[in-house]
Amino acid sequence: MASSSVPLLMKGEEPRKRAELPSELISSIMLRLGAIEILENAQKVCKSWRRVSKDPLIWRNIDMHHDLGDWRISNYDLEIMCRHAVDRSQGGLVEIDIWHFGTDNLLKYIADRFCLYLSF
Amino acid sequence: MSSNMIMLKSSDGASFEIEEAAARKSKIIANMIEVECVDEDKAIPLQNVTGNILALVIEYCNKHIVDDDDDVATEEASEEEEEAKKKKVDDWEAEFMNSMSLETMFELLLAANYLNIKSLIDLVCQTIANNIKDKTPEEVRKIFSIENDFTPEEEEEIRKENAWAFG
Repeated sequence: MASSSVPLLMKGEEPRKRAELPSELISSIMLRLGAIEILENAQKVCKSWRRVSKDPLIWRNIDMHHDLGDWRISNYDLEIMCRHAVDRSQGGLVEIDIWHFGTDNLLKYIADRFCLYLSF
Repeated sequence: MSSNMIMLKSSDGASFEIEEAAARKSKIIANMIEVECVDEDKAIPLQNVTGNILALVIEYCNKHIVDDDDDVATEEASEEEEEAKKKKVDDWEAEFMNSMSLETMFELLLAANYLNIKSLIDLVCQTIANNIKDKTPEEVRKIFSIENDFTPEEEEEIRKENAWAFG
């Protein structure tokens, strides 16, 4: 028998499995997270989130903002983290906000990689 | 301005009437209207959006069409008035997003993407970002029912990359 042309969800039927977020939406969420949040959390969620986190477009504006009261921060070397973030921009860095831990070495590292603006 | 009404039909068969001006917030529906493939007495079927999510989308569109009208009417509004109006919209959006679970937010985001409503995509993405900011990867997976699909090799790669962590 030919099936009906209008498939309807029957009552009591299991809801369909949760769709995955398309990468442009993951990207849109990630662009709203700080660098530390992406490196420490978002990129470790699953393969597709990790893939998006490696897109240089995510790293055009790097915000190293963090809450000084956050105990986790003392576990990180923010300078190494920042260099890693700069590397991920693959030369596409446009703006970076490094807060209070900038050393001459770090600034030179960033400046060598085509940054247009620096803010402190 | 015309107040033509059009009908939208959700994937689970619920019908909604909406002002054309509000429906045009969706680029997809606006395009359909432009090329005149909207039949006046026929509902537009939206196969990827369930009724409860479509109701939220419509609530958002209705709210923002009113705001757009205000913009026209008060072109010469003072800065203060502009600010007050913006605050009102922000407050409404905050309450709107506050009223739903993360699960619903996720569905709403997919619907906004499917219907191509840029401002709603931005709003939901921002709210989700605010919500997952301090969450561990495991917590984020739980919220979005995402499976941890990393191979042991990839886990190892991430661990190695983690040179910024002390100890």
